[in-house]
Parts: sequence; structure tokens; C-alpha cells
Amino acid sequence: MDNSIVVKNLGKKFRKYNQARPHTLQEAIVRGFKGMRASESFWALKNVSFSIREGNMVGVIGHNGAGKSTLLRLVGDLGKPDEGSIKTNGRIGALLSLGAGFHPELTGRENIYINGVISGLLRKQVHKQFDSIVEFAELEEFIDNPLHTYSSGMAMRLGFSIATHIQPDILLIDEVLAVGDLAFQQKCLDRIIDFKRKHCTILLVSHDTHFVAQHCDSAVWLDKGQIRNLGPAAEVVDQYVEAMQEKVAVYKNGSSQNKAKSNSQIAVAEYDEQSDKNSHNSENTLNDENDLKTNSDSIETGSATQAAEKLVEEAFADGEASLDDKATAPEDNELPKTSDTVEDNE
Amino acid sequence: MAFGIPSSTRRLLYIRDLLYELVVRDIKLRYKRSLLGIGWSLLNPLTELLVYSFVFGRVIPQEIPNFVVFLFIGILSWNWFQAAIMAATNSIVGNRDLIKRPGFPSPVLPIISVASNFIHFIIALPILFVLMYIEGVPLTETALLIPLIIVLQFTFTLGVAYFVATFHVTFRDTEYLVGIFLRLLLFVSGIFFSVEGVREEIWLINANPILHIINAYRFGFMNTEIPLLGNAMMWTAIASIILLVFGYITFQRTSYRYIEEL
Repeated sequence: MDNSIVVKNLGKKFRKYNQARPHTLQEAIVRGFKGMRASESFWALKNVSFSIREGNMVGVIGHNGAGKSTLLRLVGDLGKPDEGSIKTNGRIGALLSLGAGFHPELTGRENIYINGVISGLLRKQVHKQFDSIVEFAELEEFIDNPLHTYSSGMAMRLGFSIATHIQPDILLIDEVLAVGDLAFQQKCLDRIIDFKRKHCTILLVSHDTHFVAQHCDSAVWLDKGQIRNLGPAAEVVDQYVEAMQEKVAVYKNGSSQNKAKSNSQIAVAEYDEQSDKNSHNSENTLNDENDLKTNSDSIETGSATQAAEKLVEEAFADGEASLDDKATAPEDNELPKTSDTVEDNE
Repeated sequence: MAFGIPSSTRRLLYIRDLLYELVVRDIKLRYKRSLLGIGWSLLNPLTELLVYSFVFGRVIPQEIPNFVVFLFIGILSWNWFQAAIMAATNSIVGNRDLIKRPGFPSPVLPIISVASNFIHFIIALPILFVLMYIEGVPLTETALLIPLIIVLQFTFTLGVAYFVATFHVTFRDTEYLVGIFLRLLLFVSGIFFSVEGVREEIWLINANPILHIINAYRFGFMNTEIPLLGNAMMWTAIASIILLVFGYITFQRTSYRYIEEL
């Protein structure tokens, strides 16, 4: 069997633009074209190497902002690596941005043709698969109605159904398994496993560690743009979950420290303010055995406090996003939310 | 899961299908929910004809034989150019979801802008023949040149389209600049009056390919004599090809950046 995807020493640098970067020529001229260049950059991916054999299914896991989606996009040739190379063998399909090109004024039928061709099918191939697409999306009765009469779930189903009919050699999936109701979600999962059975190589980004452990052959754990570990899916997922739980524990420990009025430094204090707002119920621990015990001893012991602080900082930097959804990845903190910043949206 | 078709052939077939679907989408969308539907393709140039022929036929009369036909050729060609450039300006920014799909060939987007407006040009063409019939302008063998002129206008427009689309990604006020520039160009392209009289004094007017293209259409449809047309066409053709090549290269070079920045 051949390798379907070979990633060698991959590095991707993202530029950070000045917040005041001009968006219009008028602004640019007024400011004498200052601030057009990227002010600094950071490595979203660095030294990433792995290869995937034909027909294997590989899960990419890691906290928010670790570079998972960036990796997936680079494999899909959406962007150029700054270092290293990616070789892919075969036609790439993607379950990303489902329903691209959908237009609410057009009927379901018209949208299937447009989106099918956009997804990489020839018109006659769409024609051949048309009934199957409609059937899978369970939209037989509504197919000639304009899309704006569909519920958002119906439109998503249609998008997913088209995307799964393109018969790619390599399939990229970015966290789109939550489509429609439970029954349809199960259908989607079955479909993906079906792809695997047909020797389609699958690269999947997911926070659903269960799914990765259960169905993927192997997993890649990304941490701050670098590979923390890779290997058999179940093992890597176990390690990842363990590491995440430690962070959760430290996170909670941090907030109880605050209550004990410890003499922590600013980083911890700031962190605690945040966590106080977010989690007053820190006593309801997820995992008692992993929770560090907070007693006056450990707070007074200098080294222990420092170690705890370090962990807390790390947890604040990394684990936060997975604890409460509204938090952003650390790199995003200084970035404006406009389109001129290159960021890793996850 | 191979398709049994050589991949380069399949790619060509694919681009063809993609162009077809997206052009049809453009056209369908323009007339969805409108009372007159495709009639707008006819009504738009006709109302312009009415306004211009009143202003330049009655208010400031021009001494041009078969003025209505002269005018309508200018309107048709100009409308195609203008609408295509306006659409192309927004073709990248307005289609982020397409650009961000693996394997989507983003260079087709400006082509679609030019092609779907070409369809409107074709739809309105019968009106021109009606006007020619009414005015008694016969089609002669010079009409054989018309397909060639269409190819030339397509090439030139697409070249400009690649540049404005690229520029609009960085500077979002390109749209307004393009609007201003087009209005300026409208008056030096000899659409509703002849600029032949000032061409020798103001040499810059000669640098306007649209002027030459419109003149060529008039030669094709009306067999009117236009001085130095052959020469002008040759330069226009060379300039258009160079523009298209550079436009395309610029577009391709920056297209990876779009994907990341949009």
C-alpha cells in the first residue's frame, strides 16, 4: 500500500498585522502606506512530519489554536507552507464549509448541481448521483422549493449529503459531524466509516476524543503547532485526555487558591478573576483524584506555589478555550477580528 | 475510485462544467423574483438608447449617419465591459466560501464575471439587428470580423478583471475607484459621440482600447470607414494579451494569500 499523504517538516508562519492596518486605499494614502506590512509573525505549525497510508483514518487532536485546522487546510492546498512539503496522492474531497455556493433564492435541485460541481464533480456525475443525494438528505418533497424555505438543519443535511457523494481518494473533515438531529448524525458517522471501508484516506480534526479513539487508526496530537505525540489512536487519545484533565484540575485549583487569598502573582490573580466569573462551582469537580489538593502547606511552600503558578499559566494559555467556549486561543488575544489577520479559526 | 478519464482531460471538462454552472447561477439570480425576468437584459440597453439618442440626437445633435445604430453598438459593448469589471472587482471577496474549498480553481471567478455579462450582450444583440433593419443598414462581409472582436474584448476585459479583483482584496475601496474610473472612461470611448476629431490633438485618447474595440464593432456591423483601424486593432490585441498574461500571473501569485486572508 502506498502513502496517500506525506507531510515533511511542515512549517507555517502566520503574520500578525497591525491592528490599525489600512483597509482602504484612502486610509493607506492618508497614512503614507504605513502599517501595511505584517508587524510580527508566529509559527502556527512547525516541524510537523507524518505520513498516512492509503485507506487509513487519522484523527488530529489538540486544544484550540494548536494548528489543527491550519494543518488540514494546508493538506487541502489552501495556502502555501513556509517550510517543508506536503505530498498528496489522489483527489481530495472535504467536509469543510458545507454548502459553499448555496443560494437561498435557488431551489434545492439547482443548488445541488451548483454545489456538486463546486465540490469537484462533473455535471453528469451530479446528474447520476442526484437521486441518491436527495434521498440521503431526506429532502424528496422539498427539492424543488427555494432554499430559503428550508430550515437550517435541512440546508446542512443537503450540504453534507452532496459532500459525501463526491467519492474522493482523500477526505478532509473538520469538525462537521454535528449536523442535524441525532438520527442524521448517526447516518453521517456511518457514512464516514463507509468511506473508510472503501479505502478512502481520511484526515479528521475533532474534539470528539471518543470518536477518534474508537474509529481512527492513528492520531496526531498537535500542541502549539508541533507534534506532541503520534501513534495508535487509543494511546494518543488517552495521553491527551490525561493531559487535559491535569489542566482542568490545575484550573480549578487556581480558583480555590484565590478563595484562600494566596499571595500569588499577577498572572495567577488575573487568571483567578476570570475563572471566578466563569466557574463558581469549582467544588463540583470532574475528577477528584486529579484535582490538586489545596491546603495552606502547598501555598506557603515557595517552590510548590511557583510550580502551581506555572501550571496555571499554562492552563490559562491552553486549556481555557476547552473549558469555556467563549474564550479565545492565546494568539488571538491581540488580534482584531477583521479579515486582515491570519488566524487559526477553530 | 478513479474516474477512468485522464486527469488533464477531466480537469478541462470540470472547468467547463464549473463555468457553466456558475454563469447560469449568475444569470438565474439576476432575474429571480423580478417581474420582467430576462426582459431586463433588453430593457436596460433600450432605455439607455432612448436617453442618449434624445440628448445626443436632439439636444446636442451629432452629425453621424445612422446615429441610432452607431449609438447602440457603443452601448452594448460598453455595458458588457462595465458590468463585467464591476462584477469582477467583487468576485474574490464576494466568493470567500468558494475560494476556501480545496481544489477550487479561483481563476475562474473573474472569467465568470466576464462571461455572464457576455450573455447579456448576446441576448440584446437581436435588438441591434432590428435597429439596423429599421435604419436600413445592411450586414456586409465585414460582419465576419465580429467574432474576432468579441474574443478581443473578452481578452481585454478579463485582463483588467484579474487586476481589479486582486487589488480589491487588499483595498476594499477599489470598488469606488473602479466606479469613478469607468465613468471617466465612458466619455472618452466614443460611445455617444465621435472622438475622431480630437484624436490627433489628445494622443492619450488613442491609448483607450475600448475606443478601438467599439470602433471595430462599428466597422463590423456598419462597414463604416475608420482611419487606421487595422493598426489600432493590432496594438489593442497585443496590449490585451500582455495585460491578460500579467493579470493572470499577478492573480495566481497572490491567490494563496487570499485564501489565508479572506
